[in-house]
Amino acid sequence: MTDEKIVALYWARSEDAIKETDKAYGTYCHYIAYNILREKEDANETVNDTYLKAWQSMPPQKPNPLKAFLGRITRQLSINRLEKKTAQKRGGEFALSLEELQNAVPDGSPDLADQVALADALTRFLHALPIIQRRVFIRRYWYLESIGEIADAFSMSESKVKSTLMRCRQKLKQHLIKEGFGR
Amino acid sequence: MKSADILYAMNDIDPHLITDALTTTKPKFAFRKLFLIAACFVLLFALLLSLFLFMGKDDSPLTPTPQGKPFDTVSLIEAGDSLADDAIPPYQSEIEGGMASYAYLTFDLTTVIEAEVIEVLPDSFISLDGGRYYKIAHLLVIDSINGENLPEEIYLRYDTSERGVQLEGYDSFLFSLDQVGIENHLMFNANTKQATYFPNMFIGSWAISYGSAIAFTDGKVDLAFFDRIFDHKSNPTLDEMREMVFDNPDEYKFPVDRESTIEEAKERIASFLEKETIKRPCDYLTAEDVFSSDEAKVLQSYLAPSKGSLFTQNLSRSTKSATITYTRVINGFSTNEVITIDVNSQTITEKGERFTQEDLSALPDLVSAKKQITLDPEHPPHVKLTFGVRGSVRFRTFDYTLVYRKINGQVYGIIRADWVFTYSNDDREEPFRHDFRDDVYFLYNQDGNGWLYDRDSLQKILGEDSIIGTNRYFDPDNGIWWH
Repeated sequence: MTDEKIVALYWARSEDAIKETDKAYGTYCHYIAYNILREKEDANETVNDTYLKAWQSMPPQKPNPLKAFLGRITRQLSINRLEKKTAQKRGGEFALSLEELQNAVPDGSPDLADQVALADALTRFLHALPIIQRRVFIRRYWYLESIGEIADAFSMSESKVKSTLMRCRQKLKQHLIKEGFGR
Repeated sequence: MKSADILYAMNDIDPHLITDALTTTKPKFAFRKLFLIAACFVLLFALLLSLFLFMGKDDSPLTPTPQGKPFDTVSLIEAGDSLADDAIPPYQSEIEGGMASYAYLTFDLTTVIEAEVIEVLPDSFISLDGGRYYKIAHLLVIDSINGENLPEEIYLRYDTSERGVQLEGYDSFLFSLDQVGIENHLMFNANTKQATYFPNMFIGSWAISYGSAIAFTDGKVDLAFFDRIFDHKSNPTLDEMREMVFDNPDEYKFPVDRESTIEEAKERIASFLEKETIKRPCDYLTAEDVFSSDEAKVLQSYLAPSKGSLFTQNLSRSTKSATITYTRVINGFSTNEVITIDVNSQTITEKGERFTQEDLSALPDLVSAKKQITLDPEHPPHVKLTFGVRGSVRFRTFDYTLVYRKINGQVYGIIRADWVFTYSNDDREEPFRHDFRDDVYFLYNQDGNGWLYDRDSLQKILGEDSIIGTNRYFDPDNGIWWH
């Protein structure tokens, strides 16, 4: 079923909306949730929460593309769920990604970043990256895939993935400084 | 800034980047390039051969050709504000049972008001962007509990399929609403078939029958409102869920239990709002907000309704942004003239070309054109019907979609005709039925001349267009079934 028809089902308040969403994007949402949470039950619950959130958002929203819309919700809910867990339990690719991205934070940046401005700056940065670097970066820091998974997906060695990411982080730091997020 | 800020902000990057990132690029080898070049030559040869074979061949009347096959001519009409019969979508089935896996009653903290029902309009209305039938209630706002600058009177539309929703006969209501329209919100009256405009329009933030409306009589919650709805949904699970919500309203963030007064309900909503970390859009958006820049004000007058100038409206709001999209409709048929305004930045985006008054004075009459079309149910153009091989195929119906388009200064009327079949196979471990379709396209220009087109050839004229189907054609021989 097309995205347009699935969205129309949400607007029509038809219970088939959830079924069709699960059919079309269930695997995708599970994939995102599991990458972050690394626990099957948590991932299942988060995906269910995603569907509920989608139900509550449409109407008024008419997301396009629907896939990215659902992916965003899943990612945010998964991160929220992980945040609720104790620091000792926090781990997996989320913690590793946080650690890596510390290198991309400019010195002297404000304690509380303006999330909207930061997202815009990130979008501009990503558009400017060469296509493969951009995909690798998003796989790591949006989908929170492991280095090994990215290496497999792009037929690269793990060390090549790591060096690509390192260069991207350096570029990101420069970009954020240029955009006024620090020095 | 912390690294977490970057990770969280990544959530709001351009959504197309998110989907694009799932594309993987494998290493390219020289022989693969050579193979691709060879494949291109083979494809080109096959295409040229096909074109040669088509030339001079007398196809049956409904077999489209790559060049488009001349078809019947039609008369021309003027655009008006009435709705053509063929623009009215078929009546939608009613909501059955509800969301069994979720709580039956849900009250979101969007725009929350106490209101009296002035009137439920007697007619039904159609929203052509979603193709649904609605009832519309005219409400008097008594108290605005969440959200500012609400007008004194507003309109609430709810799906006619929400049977059992009876808004008349109660003293007042608490509503949880989302604004979906500003001034000149277009709805078509399904009874009179005339365009009708509303100064504002709201919908329940959840379905009205699932808790977005709570009725009160003599200052106390009136459960008869829910009982009336529930009579139409004989589902004991939902009944249990409803009782759970009334037993623990705080846990389920629902404003009332079985005995609450309206004041107690408001207090409960206030306490929920205090704990709410993410504030959903709730303030009233006016036309002045939407058309605040000089450029937008010029656009506002262009979008104002007049004979032949009708635009549907779609307001989309999130915590950070608001956009409103206008789509031109002609006699109820949608067009590719789409204008979007970003309310915050006042950025205007136009897709498709503007229709001029001259365009609107001479349009191919699609209703007459459709009447001239005859289709053969047993001979769809692309699908090979194979009976009794892997199951059975049964013809169900023809669907027609009628639209207007303006491309490179030329106005076209287009009719998409779909054959709808049902494939069933009871021999599988899990017997199943599946609907599949085949399609052709009739295109009429402003001289009234018509042509028969296939998807690919039509795409050469229109470019990427939602009227052109993208589903795979069914192939029962290979056991492939696709939406």
